[in-house]
Amino acid sequence: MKYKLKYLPAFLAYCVISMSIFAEASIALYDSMTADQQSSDSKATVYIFTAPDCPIANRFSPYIRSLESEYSSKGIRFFLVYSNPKITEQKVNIHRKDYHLDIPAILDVDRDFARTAGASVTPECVVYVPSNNGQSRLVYRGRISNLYEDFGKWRHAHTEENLKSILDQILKGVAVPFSSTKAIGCYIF
Amino acid sequence: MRWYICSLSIILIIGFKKPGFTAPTFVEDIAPIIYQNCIQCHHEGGIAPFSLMTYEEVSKRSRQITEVVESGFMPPWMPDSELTPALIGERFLSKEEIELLRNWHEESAPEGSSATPLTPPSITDEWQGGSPDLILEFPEPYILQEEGIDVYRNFVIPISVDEKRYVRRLELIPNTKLAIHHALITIDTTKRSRLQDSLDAGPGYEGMGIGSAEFPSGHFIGWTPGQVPYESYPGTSWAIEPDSDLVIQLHMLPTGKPEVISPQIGLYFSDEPPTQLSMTLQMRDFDIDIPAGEQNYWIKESMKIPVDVRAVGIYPHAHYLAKEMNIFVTMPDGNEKTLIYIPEWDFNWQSDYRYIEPITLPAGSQLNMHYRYDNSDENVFNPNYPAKRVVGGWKSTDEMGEVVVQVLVDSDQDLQLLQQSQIDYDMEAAGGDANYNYNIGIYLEQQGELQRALSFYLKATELDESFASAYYNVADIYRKLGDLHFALKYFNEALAVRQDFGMAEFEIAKIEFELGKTQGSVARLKSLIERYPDDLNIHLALARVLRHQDLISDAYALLMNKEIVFDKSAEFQIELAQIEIEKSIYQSAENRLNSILETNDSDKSTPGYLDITETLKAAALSELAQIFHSRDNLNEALNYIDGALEREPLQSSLYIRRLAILRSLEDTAEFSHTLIQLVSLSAQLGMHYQSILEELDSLEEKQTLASAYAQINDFEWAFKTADEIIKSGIYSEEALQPLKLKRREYLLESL
Ligand code: HEC
Repeated sequence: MKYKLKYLPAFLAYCVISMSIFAEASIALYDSMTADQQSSDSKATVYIFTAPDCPIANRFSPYIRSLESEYSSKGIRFFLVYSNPKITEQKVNIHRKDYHLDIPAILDVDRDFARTAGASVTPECVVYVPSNNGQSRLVYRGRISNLYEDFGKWRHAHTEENLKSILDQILKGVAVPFSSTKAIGCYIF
Repeated sequence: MRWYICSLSIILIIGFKKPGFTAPTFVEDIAPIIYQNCIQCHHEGGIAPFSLMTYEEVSKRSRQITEVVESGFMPPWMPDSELTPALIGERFLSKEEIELLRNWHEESAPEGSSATPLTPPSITDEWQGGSPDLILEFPEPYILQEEGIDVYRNFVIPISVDEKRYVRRLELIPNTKLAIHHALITIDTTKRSRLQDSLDAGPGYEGMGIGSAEFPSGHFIGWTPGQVPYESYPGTSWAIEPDSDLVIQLHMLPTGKPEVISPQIGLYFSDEPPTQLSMTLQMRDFDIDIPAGEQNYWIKESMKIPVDVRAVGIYPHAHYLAKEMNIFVTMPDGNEKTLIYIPEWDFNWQSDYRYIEPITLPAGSQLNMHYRYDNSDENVFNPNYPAKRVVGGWKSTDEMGEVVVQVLVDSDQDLQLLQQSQIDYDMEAAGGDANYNYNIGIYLEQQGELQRALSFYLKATELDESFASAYYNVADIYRKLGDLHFALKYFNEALAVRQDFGMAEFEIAKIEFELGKTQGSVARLKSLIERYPDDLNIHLALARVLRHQDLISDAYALLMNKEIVFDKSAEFQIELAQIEIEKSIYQSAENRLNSILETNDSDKSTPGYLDITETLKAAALSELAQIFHSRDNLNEALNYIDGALEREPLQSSLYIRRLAILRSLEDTAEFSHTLIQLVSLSAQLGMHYQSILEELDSLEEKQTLASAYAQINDFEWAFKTADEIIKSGIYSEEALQPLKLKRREYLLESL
């Protein structure tokens, strides 16, 4: 994993500021983030790749919202990532309003973030934790839960909540090795 | 041999190395496939989540498209098209088409160019059969929750037709993307669905059972996204009667945001009543009992086909655990013929299917249904995790195995034989299952076979002593058969096993009143009103009982108190007008009644009364006749009552009122004419000798009655009337002379 999440703290600062000014959650262009990677005040950061026209990602919206409200108070930050050359701020706002996703968003127009994080579909999530050397470390990439087994094959309720269990491990303070799962959804590339 | 291998390798080279191979392009190769198979659903505003109309829209999803067509998920179509006879609206891609899509994706989805610009075919989300004769809409939209998996709800829509109509085509416009996965369309003539609706908060009521609603006799009607609209087989239109309700069951899938559900249903009428007999054959297994973890649980049902029939449609049905479905016919010669084979059942794409050409099932065939279920954790659709034992039932987490086949039948006699075969199957299948016996009861009741229905309901109560609706239906049949005491007994049983069974208690109150137990009835109705403060029918019933007790002011106060709540009910207005007439508040009564007559039900723009029917209009006219009668404006009164009779020629009270007006007018000729009409219709009117006699005032009128009976050659009652007159002692010999002669003739003849 070559990629270092170097822009993170400044980006967070931007979000915090804009959130305090506007009631709506913020949007930032992935490109606009410039800063170093020294410190982060959060225990982990979750990026959820999503897309307005992906039915599978949309069905996860209520669950994403409930995870965010449960874990953000425990020191974990959440971002939505829209990796799509045609995405606009307006589309993101409409999408977040329709699906009641009051979560800061990143416009990844060139899909660089998706490429570097290794995300290939929506919905898919990546989880970073601050590491000793001051850089962020990727601990999880993959599905949010096992609700979908394949296109058209979804369970009545998920029986494995992958993202949630990673976050619980992080909060317990145990060392979390990198793991990944295959996410089912709409392709980013 | 060498030569052979050699030529094979040449083929291989041509096939796989593709010398001179040019990558497929969108304009030349891909667009035709997509336009032919995908865009009916995948267009802007269509039911699929995204459009696939333009190059850009298709190319950005080339990978997902390749995967979903290879897995067979898209285009959605469950039946195996090789084994199943050709079905209307069949959707599948050939192997070559799938391969083209894959190659195109692997070659980075080039657009290509073409001399003529690519124009996607135009697709409509409007009515496909032109504008419907009747459009039905939800009284109010339903808001589907954002999260969860399946929601089943039944919506009750009154059908506003003035007379019996025949439906040949039905379309549904979902008005929402994605959320509605499947709809079943049924008809309820009993009003029970309305009651059920009123007991459940929000529009419609929850559940997978359709209660007292039924598919139109001999048909089944479903809707799935993108399906070719329902069209009945030529000659098999189905009837809808005034005053019935369309009950539509929606299977909805939450999308992640709240969805407004308010589909429109368009009905297309035919001028012709059905000319072709049809019937639906049904097989179902309610004894399903699948152990946890079982991956190969089979059910097998079969039914004898005693006459030649032709299958035109098929509706296989199961819930989540079913995997494989095979419905086939064993011919008299032992050969087998597939009716439908579904190798991988997916409840989310359930549908009903219609054959392009009817399939002949000769007399002596056997219809078979073989379904396989997987109740293991491997089955993603398993609603239980970990897997647990699942039994048959109506809830979505129960399992079902059912098939409905619509068949054409050649003659009435064949139809009867086929119905008998269905009943034989049901009897044998029902065995010891309370639900099953209950369902057959419903089926028979709908066919008008009350006595037989009764025995199935009673069996259901024996098998399950706490089966409240079975007791209720037993009671209901006893009431229809005129046995009020038994009706009361069983309504009480229903209430005993389900204490909050408001409908049963309401029926008890009504029967108590009919049996003269007025006090008890009043107390019950009052307590029901406390529990259901906004129920119109309970208020009307109590008002009627109070009026009967001459507590006019109490009845008046009761209804006036609710005037605002029920202001959209014509029935309520009429009841109130009748009370006002009794209290001589004529002007207000007249206003109410006129407002009912002014309500034009075909004009939706003026919000009138929601329950307006011809019967209620007739009632309003009759009350107006009463008002004008009491004002001595007799000709006007006669006009009104005739208007009422025109709308409702089978309502005895209207004849009685007409007689009263004619009596005041002293028009004896017309009086006698009306009486003749009354006695000749007495069977249909449900008004017989004694009750007619009670309405007559004088000896002359009784003599007129005697001659009316004689006129229609009903001498039994003519003589009886004559006897009645003779008993009273004062009569005119002259008037009775012809009758006496006739009687002599009659007696002689019978000797
Ligand atoms: C009968 C309507 C219908 C037709 C025809 C149809 N689709 Fe779909 N398609 C849908 C619906 C509905 C969904 C959304 C499924 C869901 O997630 O509920 C869908 C989803 C998809 C998806 C996303 C997969 C997913 O799980 O969300 C792809 C890709 C797709 N369709 C491609 C196609 C292609 C390619 C064709 C033609 C070969 C096609 N569809 C034909 C209705 C249709």
